[in-house]
Amino acid sequence: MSTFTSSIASAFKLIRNALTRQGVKIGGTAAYPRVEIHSVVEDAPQTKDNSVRSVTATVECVSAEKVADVVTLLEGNTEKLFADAGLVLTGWDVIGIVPGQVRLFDEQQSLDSAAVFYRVLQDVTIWLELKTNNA
Amino acid sequence: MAYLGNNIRVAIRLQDEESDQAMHWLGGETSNNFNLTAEAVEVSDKRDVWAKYIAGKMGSTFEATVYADKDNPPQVEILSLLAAGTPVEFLVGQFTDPEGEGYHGIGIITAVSDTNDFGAVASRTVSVTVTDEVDPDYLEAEVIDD
Repeated sequence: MSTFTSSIASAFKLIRNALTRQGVKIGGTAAYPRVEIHSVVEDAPQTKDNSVRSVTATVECVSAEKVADVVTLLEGNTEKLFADAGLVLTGWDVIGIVPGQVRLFDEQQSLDSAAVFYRVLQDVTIWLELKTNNA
Repeated sequence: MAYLGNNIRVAIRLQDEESDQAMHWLGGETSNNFNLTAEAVEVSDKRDVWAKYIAGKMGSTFEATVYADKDNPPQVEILSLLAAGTPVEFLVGQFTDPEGEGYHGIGIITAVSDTNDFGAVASRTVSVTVTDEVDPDYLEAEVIDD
């Protein structure tokens, strides 16, 4: 059997590269509005030769101001992730990127500040296949 | 000792290869099942209190489910063997250097069915009916991934 290589870093990189665009901040410490990628989960290998992987991540859009911000970010994300077929990774073939559940939240951060944050969470599943040596 | 199904895979011989060459694992395999049967033959007559049976017709089938791959040589071969009705030499087992270990024989491909679900990788199930004796021991050949 082949040695095991995790696809999780590659999948994360793929989403991050796909979402990166002008005017959009990505990451936990960026200001609002922003996009975060979290809860990246790689399932057990899908095939006996460990070649096919499924990675599910949650892409989150956060705004401290208005719901329109997060919806605009979500639309931008969708366009970049699911409309662009030209996503490439070293070492892996991208079988496909599949949209999952979308959830909208507005939440009160604390009783003191009464600040309202808007969040849209989008699940994204990426199917990857390990490139064979002779491919 | 018990063992995991992970290592028990299906391999076939490509048509243009000799019997001493390596066999090829089916690419992207997710599962397989192998069935051996011995159909009992009843030998009772009216005088017997209980019916008696002897082992009768032996038979065998197997199925393998893979993620469909139009570039994987064994998968391409299976489609053309099905169309041609040509028997295929197979191994359902594992490769323990220097040889394959498991059920080995010859069969005809009776069905290939593809499943294309929304949001999932397209999968393919290959059904084979064994047409000759099954050799449950070993195969003196290497088995390789494409």
